[in-house]
Amino acid sequence: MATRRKKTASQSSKKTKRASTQTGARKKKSTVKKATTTKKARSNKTARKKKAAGNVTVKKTTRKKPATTRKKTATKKASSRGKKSSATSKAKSTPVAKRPAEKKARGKTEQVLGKHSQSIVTVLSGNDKSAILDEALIRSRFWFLLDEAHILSGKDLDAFKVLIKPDFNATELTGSLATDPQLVEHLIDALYERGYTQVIVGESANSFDLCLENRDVLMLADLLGYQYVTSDGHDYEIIDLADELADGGFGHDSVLHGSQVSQQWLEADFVIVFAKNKTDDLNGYSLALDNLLSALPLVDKDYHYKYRLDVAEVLTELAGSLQTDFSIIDAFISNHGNLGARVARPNHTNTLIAGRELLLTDHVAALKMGLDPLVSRNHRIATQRYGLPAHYEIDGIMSAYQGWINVDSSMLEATRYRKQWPGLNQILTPWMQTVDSEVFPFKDPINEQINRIVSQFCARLDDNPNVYWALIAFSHALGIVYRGIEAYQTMYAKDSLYYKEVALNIRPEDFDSSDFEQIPAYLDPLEAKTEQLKADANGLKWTYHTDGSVLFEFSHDIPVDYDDFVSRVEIRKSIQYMNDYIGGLIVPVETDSQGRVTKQLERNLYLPQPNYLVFYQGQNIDVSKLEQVRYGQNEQKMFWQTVKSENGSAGYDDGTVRFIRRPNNETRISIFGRQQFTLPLFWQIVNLDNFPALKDILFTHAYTTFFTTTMANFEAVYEGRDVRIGKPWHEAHENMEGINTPSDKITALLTDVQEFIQRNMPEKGDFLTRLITNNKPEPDYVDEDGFAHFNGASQSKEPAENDEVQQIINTGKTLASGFWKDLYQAVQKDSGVSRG
Amino acid sequence: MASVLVTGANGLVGANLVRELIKDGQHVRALVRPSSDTRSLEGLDIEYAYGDVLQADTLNEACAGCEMVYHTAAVFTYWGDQAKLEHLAVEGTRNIIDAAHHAGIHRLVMTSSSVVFGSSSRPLVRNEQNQLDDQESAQYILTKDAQERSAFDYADRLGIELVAVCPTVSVGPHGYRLGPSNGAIVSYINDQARTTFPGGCNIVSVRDVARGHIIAGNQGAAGERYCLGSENLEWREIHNIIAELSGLPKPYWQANHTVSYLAASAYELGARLKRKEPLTTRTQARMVGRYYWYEHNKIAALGYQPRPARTALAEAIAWLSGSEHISRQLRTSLRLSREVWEARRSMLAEEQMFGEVI
Repeated sequence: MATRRKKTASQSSKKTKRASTQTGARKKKSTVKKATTTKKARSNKTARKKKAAGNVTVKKTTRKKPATTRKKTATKKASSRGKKSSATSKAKSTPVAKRPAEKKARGKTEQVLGKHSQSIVTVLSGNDKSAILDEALIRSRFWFLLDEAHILSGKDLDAFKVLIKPDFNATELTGSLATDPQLVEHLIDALYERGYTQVIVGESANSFDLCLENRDVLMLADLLGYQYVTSDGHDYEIIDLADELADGGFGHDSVLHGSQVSQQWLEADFVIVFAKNKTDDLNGYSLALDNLLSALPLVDKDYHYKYRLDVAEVLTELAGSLQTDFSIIDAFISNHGNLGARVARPNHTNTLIAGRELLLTDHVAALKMGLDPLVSRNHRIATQRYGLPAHYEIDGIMSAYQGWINVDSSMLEATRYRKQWPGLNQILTPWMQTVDSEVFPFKDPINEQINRIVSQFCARLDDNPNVYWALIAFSHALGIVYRGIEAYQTMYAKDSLYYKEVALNIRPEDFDSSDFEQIPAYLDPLEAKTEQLKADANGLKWTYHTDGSVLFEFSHDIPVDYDDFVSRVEIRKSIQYMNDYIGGLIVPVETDSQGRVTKQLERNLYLPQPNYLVFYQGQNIDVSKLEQVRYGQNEQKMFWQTVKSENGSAGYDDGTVRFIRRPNNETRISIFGRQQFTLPLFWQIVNLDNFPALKDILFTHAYTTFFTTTMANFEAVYEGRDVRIGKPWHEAHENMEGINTPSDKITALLTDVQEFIQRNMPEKGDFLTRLITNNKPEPDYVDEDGFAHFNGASQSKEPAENDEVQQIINTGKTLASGFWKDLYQAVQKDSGVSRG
Repeated sequence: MASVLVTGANGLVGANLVRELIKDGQHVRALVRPSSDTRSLEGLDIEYAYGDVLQADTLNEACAGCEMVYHTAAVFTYWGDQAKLEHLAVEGTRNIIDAAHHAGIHRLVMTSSSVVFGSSSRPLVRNEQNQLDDQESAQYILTKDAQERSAFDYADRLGIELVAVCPTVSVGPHGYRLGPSNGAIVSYINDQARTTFPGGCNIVSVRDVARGHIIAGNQGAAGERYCLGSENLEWREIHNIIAELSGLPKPYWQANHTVSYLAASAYELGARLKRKEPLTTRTQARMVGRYYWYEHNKIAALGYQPRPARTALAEAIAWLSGSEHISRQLRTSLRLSREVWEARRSMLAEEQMFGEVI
């Protein structure tokens, strides 16, 4: 049996290797070991290839953006509540053609064609993939678009840079998981024939790089069958999109603010997204939109872009910001089945789909699968934001693929349940994935052993109802457990929850000054009405408004100097200081002459209020607000009005906060609000209006708890403390170093145990060391190309010595006996037998 | 101007002593290890000397030119390697006495502990005349006793005037390492079960302890011990005060020896897993029910006037509530009383005098 050795990234990166041929690499009898190419080596290789192509110039240019001007869509609203509703609906229903981000997404080709030209998506089938690609390009007006883009660029043909973004994300070489390299190379040949000789193929590594070997982009390209030179003899480059990075230019309101993207992508004159036709167990399908995720550089894409951030927001941002000029779906050999790309299940669908519009092309490809395109949350969010062209044409036959298996709705639901749990999914992903471990050896033997068992079940899922339903049940069970954990954390361990990192979902250009300035006029009368109420013992005043929303006011005096307080506590950040704030962001809109922010937009997320609603599947309160701040000598005041609730968790969450100078120069904080939160289904059914006394008790308790804690937060901020609940996600890494994979964590746990033994039983310290390190076999030899070779003989672990185990047991017995002796003495003291 | 050397200057007692000395116009040289956390000394106009009381060769330079040494360096803990503690206490003190002797310093004030006067199973007040009884088993207490005996003997042989000051449970600001004294406050704030236990102790402000060091240094008789304490209280009274000052419920119940021991065992287990020092230990659990009550008449005769225990606790809570020892979540449960805010304001004003903002 062949065995493989785990090697660290740093070790691997010292070796530079490109497999001689893909078949050679695939068919090695002895196991192939990772041969990661260093960045420097890649650059050298790229330079060599450029030199071979007669062009070694590397330009450093800034990112090109479409010359679009953001158009303000101000809509006056009659009443305050009417304004809120209007603003909310406005954000959702603004005509797509007017949205600036959409224009960015369309790229330069739209400038050429104009927005009135009809989009075409061509769907062609046939047995000769090269022939149908040629025809699809013609019928989808690809060449017209490319030539127009070239003319518009004003560049010579040999300086016009074309970037092709295929899908390399395969763990088996079945041809169904990654874009067909022969099709990519045929496209390159076709481009060369038209004079476009600056062609780059770009991809980046993903989370599989953490658990599998040979996932370096260039190595992967070799294994998939990319030759760097086409059958017609045309050279092309393959680049790692994570190698040369530049600021992505994402705005402050973007979920990707501060992220970098490939400079080659930013410099490209024409970008072709060449995606694979695959089902996906989470979203139903994975096509060109999902393929954009590789434009982002971080290796652990699952962690950073799927768990840490909302992947739908990420992809929507990429679709709007990154230049994409054409989209092709390689459905010649597709991958179908309930587990999507987790299991290689080829279906020879013999089809290619091509079109200018990325979202539209995906839309058509999903229809061709027989799916509602909006089943994908990613596609749905992006389409809600950018829409589809008002007029488009589908050129081809839309009959569904034969023998096609989509992901059932029950499987989609189950997967969503399971994937709520980031940590567990990091562990499960390498276990459930079918992997050709001859080509992509596991880095960790633990993962390999478990994968051998679990992936076998996964591979049979579409053919075995028992496996199918077992996975459904398992996923739901995990989802329920995770919700239980999350509920516990919400109630009792808030600092173990992760921060929520979100984008601002309202846009500054949608609001003008009058939108902000009407807020005081709306809130002041309500505040005055509430102030007249009698406070309860805790200082809380509250009542119901005519529409059932709650008006409340809570004041708290802090015996500290007012000027000192306002110098330490920024009133404009008051929302972030409130109880159970778990995430969000502020985008300033306007400042006064002293540089103080007077108008701002804010999105904020709180834990369910009251917290116990989490047990009834209460969701986080997610509200986006307009905020105005006034600064006076003896009072500072901030007004806010909610204009959107992304998840519908709040009908109203409006209010004010005041910092007031008391006559003795001390500080009073006063908070007024109008709130109406959406209750979980259970409580809607119970309908507390039928139990007014109980409702009063619950509301009083909820508001008292919320505001006493909020006031403590203000005090703590004054003390200089960070009051935010939760914990940050670990810092982003642009390479693998510093990333803790689950198997790393298991090793770390064993190391902790070892250190504990060393501290308490020094003579036994190396006992566990041998246990931990014994399962890492050394290679027989490492060849000149950097491949490590192992023979098939099993390298069994040395058995632990019995006497060592016995000694550890004895030491434990000694410690335990000391404990019982002292406990016995304590009992004696309590029983009066002895005096302490 | 001659300097005074303070060893362990970054510790709870040391940091407060440095401030009192500065108030008196003294030039302070602070002996700290190069790796020490010196946040407690930030912003103070002092001279740093880097060394270690266990490395004798690093002490001579630190002592050079000083007229007095305040030796506060010690580790107050009921957790960890007790042999190391004793080594630090005994050998460290001998080293600093040696260095003082070589530098021509004739007077040294050593920080000991009131626990060397022993404790009682009944509410009896003890003083400097009392000794440890034979049943005492806590290693920290035995260590302080050994340190005292060894130091007096060695100083006497070298002709150094050694005065020992013996603080009781010293609470207050600038303790970036959470020791058992401030830890007793944090434990109660942390304890959702609101537990108190039998027995009692003497609570004193660490700022008064610092002042007591100076009084003893200036006026104390060589070879004498001075107890630096304030009020003797039962634990229930102490917990009641903490509850009132921090806006928390008063104790719901009183734990007995068995429960205290089991709880301490659980704390120790958790601490081992988290690699942290436990808030309470089994050693402390064995001390439950005893009275560590002391009088301070001897040094009061020299002008020592400690503030009441309640004020000391208010100051300690004012500092702790803004510190890392009280978690964010725990802080939100506190409703600090006006006394605490006023204590904080008072301390803030003093700190601003040193050019530091807390």
